[in-house]
Amino acid sequence: MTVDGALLLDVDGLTVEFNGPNGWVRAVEDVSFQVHAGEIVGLVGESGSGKTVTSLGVLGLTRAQGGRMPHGRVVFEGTDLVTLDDKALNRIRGRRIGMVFQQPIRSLNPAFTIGEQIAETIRHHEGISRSDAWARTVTLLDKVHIPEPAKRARQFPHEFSGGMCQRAMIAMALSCSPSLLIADEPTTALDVTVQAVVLDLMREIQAETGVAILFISHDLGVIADMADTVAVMYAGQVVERASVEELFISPRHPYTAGLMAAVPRVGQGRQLVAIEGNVPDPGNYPTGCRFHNRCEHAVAMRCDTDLIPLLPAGEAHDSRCVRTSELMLEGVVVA
Amino acid sequence: MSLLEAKHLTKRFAVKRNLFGRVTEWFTAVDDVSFTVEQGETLALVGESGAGKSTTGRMALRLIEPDMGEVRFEGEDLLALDGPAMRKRRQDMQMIFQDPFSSLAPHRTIGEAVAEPLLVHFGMGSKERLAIAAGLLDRVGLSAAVRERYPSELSGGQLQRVAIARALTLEPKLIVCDEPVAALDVSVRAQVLNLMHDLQAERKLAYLFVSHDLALVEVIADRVAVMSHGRIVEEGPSAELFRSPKTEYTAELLSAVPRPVPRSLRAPATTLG
Repeated sequence: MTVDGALLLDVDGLTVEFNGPNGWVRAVEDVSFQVHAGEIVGLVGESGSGKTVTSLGVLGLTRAQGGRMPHGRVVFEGTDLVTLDDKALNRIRGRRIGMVFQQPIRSLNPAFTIGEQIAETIRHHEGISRSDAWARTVTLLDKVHIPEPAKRARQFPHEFSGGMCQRAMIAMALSCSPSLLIADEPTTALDVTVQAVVLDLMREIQAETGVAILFISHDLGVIADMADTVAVMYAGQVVERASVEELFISPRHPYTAGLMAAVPRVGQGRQLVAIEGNVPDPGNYPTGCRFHNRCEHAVAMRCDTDLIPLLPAGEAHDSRCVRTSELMLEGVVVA
Repeated sequence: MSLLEAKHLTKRFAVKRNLFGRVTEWFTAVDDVSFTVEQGETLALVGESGAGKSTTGRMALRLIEPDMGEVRFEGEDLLALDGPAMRKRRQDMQMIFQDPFSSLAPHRTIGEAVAEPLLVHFGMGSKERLAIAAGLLDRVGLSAAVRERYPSELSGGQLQRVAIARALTLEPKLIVCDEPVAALDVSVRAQVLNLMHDLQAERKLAYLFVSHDLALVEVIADRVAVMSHGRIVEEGPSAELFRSPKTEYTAELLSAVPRPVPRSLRAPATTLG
């Protein structure tokens, strides 16, 4: 898809800190990316890279978890969400921005029926009558392809399978026609065949409603499947940003290339390509480039001294690597 | 003679009981499953959750007693063995789990944890035990400092290396690996799989590799058995099975795996072979 929509979400220099036993720890630093109307932006990274904290920061949910945001702006539909109080944020969360999380069953209340919970969301935000909200709920469940929606709306979460629960969550997230959907590992807990169906559904709904999606995943395959543009995160920073085609054909950051090489590929024999070492914990990030001690291209005095900014690496392509212009990195071979 | 030969394995679990404790409804987790594992090879059991792969893996080690069927290890009928004889046989067969943290005692150092099987099976002295453990930890790529640490101080990838070292202490011939890398990050996953592969070549180990990850299995397994609803629906050499799946189910499963190639650049999907 070409991105011609208006700028919807502009995350600029987002920094989030949490209070740990040894003082404030920076979980996410200087994260910037944009989401345009109707666009699917993929946020990819390993556990601890800061993807989820970034999404919580966008939603203003880090305060509730004891976090603070010393820098950064999150401009959504022209308003900087960082400056808003909880009351104002609540008018945006769930209404203009829908959310889907990894564990649908944990996000649903076991004591209420699926339909009651969706209708409640609609009534909370729009103040319409019970019967109107219920009618809309059934329509929504039908839209996410839940069979016999009127009957299923009266069932409880435990009567739904994982895939069905996630559909119900998507219906709830879409209930107030948001312009942005934040989906945090929405299919990670599902079987592959169910995952494929849910991803198809999300694509279908995106095309139908034009909702923009911030799609968070650790799975490069899922990101390649869904995203128009991608931001790769490592150790709390965005290390590379590009269109999905650019990124997978010619990655410009050694970490991105390493992640792609680590995906098992047919015909490569039994030896997989590993990235040596471990993902550093927040608070223990190395100086300079945070990837330098695992990077085969790292050079002393250049990579391990100063904080490295995101550098231009092509058209609408940025990479947080001082050697970007010198390296020839391999992407995913396209047949 | 195969290293491991499982024949007609069946396991049912009780779902409902009546007032008198009599079972009124059964769930058949594994239904008439047969397979063999040869010395030094990797057989992967793949399938979606609930397919019965983990139950099958555990029955192969007699960690779960099958209701019906037969398990032979080097020709010996495992189900006929009594307690002491089975315990002795267990030296040859080990298991690695998905979550290494929950399979290690939190209050015991890594060195002690790896050395423990030697105490249990041979009553070996502490010094000798720890020396062997040190050698194994070194072999799986962990530094000497790790020996004195506790499980909570290590990362997931390091813990899985510890679990592998511990599985190796008794020099087994077969290791059943139940989703051994599913909880690890992509960049660390390859390290652990490479280690497992090197150890296999070095020690002629056989792996029964239980996984839901088809992309992974395609690369690391010699043979693959696809399970669905408690049955093996298709089995064959890895390369062949992935190139031309013979059942609708396998083809569907394969096509559902998201490949790391952007949608707009994909070749048309491969068809049923």
